[in-house]
Amino acid sequence: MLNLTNIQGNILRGYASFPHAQFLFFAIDNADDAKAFIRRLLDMEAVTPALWRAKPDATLNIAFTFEGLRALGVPAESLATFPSEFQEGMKHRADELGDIDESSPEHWDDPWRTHRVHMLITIYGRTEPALAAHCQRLRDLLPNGMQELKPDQPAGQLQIDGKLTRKEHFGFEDGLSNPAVEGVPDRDSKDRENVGNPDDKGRFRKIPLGEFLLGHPGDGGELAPMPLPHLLAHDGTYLVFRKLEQDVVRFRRYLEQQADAFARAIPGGLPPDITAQDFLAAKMMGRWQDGSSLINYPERPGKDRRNTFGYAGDPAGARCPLGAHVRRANPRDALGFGGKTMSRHRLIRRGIAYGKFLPRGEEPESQETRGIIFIALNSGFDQFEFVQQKWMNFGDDFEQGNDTDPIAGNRPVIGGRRSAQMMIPGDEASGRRPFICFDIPRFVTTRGGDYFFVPSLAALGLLASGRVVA
Amino acid sequence: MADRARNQYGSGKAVTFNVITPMTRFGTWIVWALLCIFDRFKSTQVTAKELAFLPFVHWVIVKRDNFPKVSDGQPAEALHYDYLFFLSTFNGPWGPYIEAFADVLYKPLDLVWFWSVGYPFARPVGPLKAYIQRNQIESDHSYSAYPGASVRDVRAALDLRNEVEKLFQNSNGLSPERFAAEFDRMLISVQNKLGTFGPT
Ligand code: HEM
Repeated sequence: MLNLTNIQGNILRGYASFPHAQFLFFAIDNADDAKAFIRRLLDMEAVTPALWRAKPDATLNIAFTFEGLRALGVPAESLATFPSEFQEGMKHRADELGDIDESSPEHWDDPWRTHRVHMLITIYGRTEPALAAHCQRLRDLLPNGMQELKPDQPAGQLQIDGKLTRKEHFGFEDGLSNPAVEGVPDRDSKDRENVGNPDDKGRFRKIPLGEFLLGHPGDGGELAPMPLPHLLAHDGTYLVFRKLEQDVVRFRRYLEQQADAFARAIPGGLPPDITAQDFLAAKMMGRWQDGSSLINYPERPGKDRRNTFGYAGDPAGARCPLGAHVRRANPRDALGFGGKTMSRHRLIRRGIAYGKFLPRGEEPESQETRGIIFIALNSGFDQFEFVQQKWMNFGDDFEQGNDTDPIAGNRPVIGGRRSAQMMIPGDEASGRRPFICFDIPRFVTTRGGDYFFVPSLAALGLLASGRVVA
Repeated sequence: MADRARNQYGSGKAVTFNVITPMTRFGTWIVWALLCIFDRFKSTQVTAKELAFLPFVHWVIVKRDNFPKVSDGQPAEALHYDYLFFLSTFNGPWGPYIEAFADVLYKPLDLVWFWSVGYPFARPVGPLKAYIQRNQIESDHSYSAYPGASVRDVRAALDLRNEVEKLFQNSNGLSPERFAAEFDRMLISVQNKLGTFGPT
């Protein structure tokens, strides 16, 4: 069933041991040159760990936009079988995705604003020199009929106090929770536990492969719509690439502004080792900065990354607010119906930070930007779009009206101003009063991105041969 | 395109959904009996109400000789089937709406639609989507009393009003401390009913 030698790396398991990354963007002017280039890459590189003889210094992976497939000469009959979101590309989905006002495509960074990227090459390195050498080698191979679209996008695990971490810029442990997929080992790495979908007995079941890979049965035993020919689609997946800029100063300042008022909602105040800022930030995220869940640790962080918890025992959100980021992004058993109304909306995430970490109390240099290269994998873009549209930018499923995600959501117009609000439910047991965060400014802005198709190894060979027939 | 169904409020809190499918005479009788049962025994209605992205779901049978005429001059059509109208509104994208329906309410869906010509069963949902797409009618106009409110918004607003009125009635003559305590109690009881609302 599961043929790992045909599936590109960084899909079913992450490249956690390659902490430095570079995303390179290309346009294809000449299809034959591009095919020869792909063939060279396939001869030189193992794009899947299943074919590594020894662990390399760097990895390489390949993906295409719809325009890229067209530029490669994929025939119209085949192109027409790809999903409409993919054909349109991310810019054209701006309304659905909430990429409006500051996030709208006319404000995006290059190359996204001015170009349509055809081909994405992702290189992860174990060390920075290995990454640089690998990128150079690749650029040396680039044929005349292709051009690199600048600038490239460096990224990497955040260095904090000289140490590599898996944190994101707001200070939270990231890359913790990914779907547990049938046929794939339970743990992505030794301290990261994947989680399936709830069943009606309150347990978790693994998620069928077809939710993430084309050509395999998904939820309900069904195949996602398959582009043709079969060989091109099978074992491939769809990749959502989004450059999400984080305004760390604004985030910290907001927490500071709210801290005193929030602390007053807590009878007897906070324990001495916990600040109101950290507690409030945890309430917005649904996890403490160290990654422990508010469900398991409602009062203080627990240095515990167990991930198989549910929300059904916390229906009013006394522990984890109904509108917290992780509870929205993967509601687990919170929506009832034995998980049936959430099970088709799971995403594999392979995001990685870009930009330098800003130590607390420091002001950023004016030009410096930072954020996440958000990468999600799914067997249909409707999975990502649903989460983005209904769960990040709308709150109805969680009894939160139009309220958007406090971390990553849009800021609709409320009372004439663009801002958001979030309810932090109180706790009858401890007497903590409900607290409403008003006027939450935008913390995250879209700066670019597109929808990509990640072909299998066989499909890359097929594309390089130019013999795609639908 | 059916999967782009929208109203003037963008992604929409009440996107209309109408499917019209032909039935045989025999089927019409069965469906009529089923709908009577659904009317009397509430379990299907309860589940449908829990699916709060659904403002309403409505099934109507129109017999072949019962179609309305725009004017007396309109010649009578010779129809070969009776028709089942499935009328509903929902909020959110089309695909996930059908999926949630098929995953949660497949039994009543299959029971009622089984008698329609060419119905493929609710699961797997791929063929069901294709069937619906072929039989869906877009509406040019629709009426909604609260276009800016979802089902949950309306329920939350009703509960909120209730609770505030209760506090108002019971708070006469309370000391400031007692009032603060009563207010906090009220606030906790409505804390997840205070989201912003309005057209999205
Ligand atoms: C810059 C913006 C964002 C930041 C800083 C952020 C941060 C985080 C953090 C710290 C976690 C918890 C750690 C983990 O479970 O891996 C998390 C989880 C998650 N995020 Fe985000 N996120 C962002 C944007 C998004 C967006 C736009 C989406 C989806 C459209 C998303 C989907 C998810 C999902 C699915 C989870 C896992 C939830 C779970 O399984 O419990 N995130 N995010």
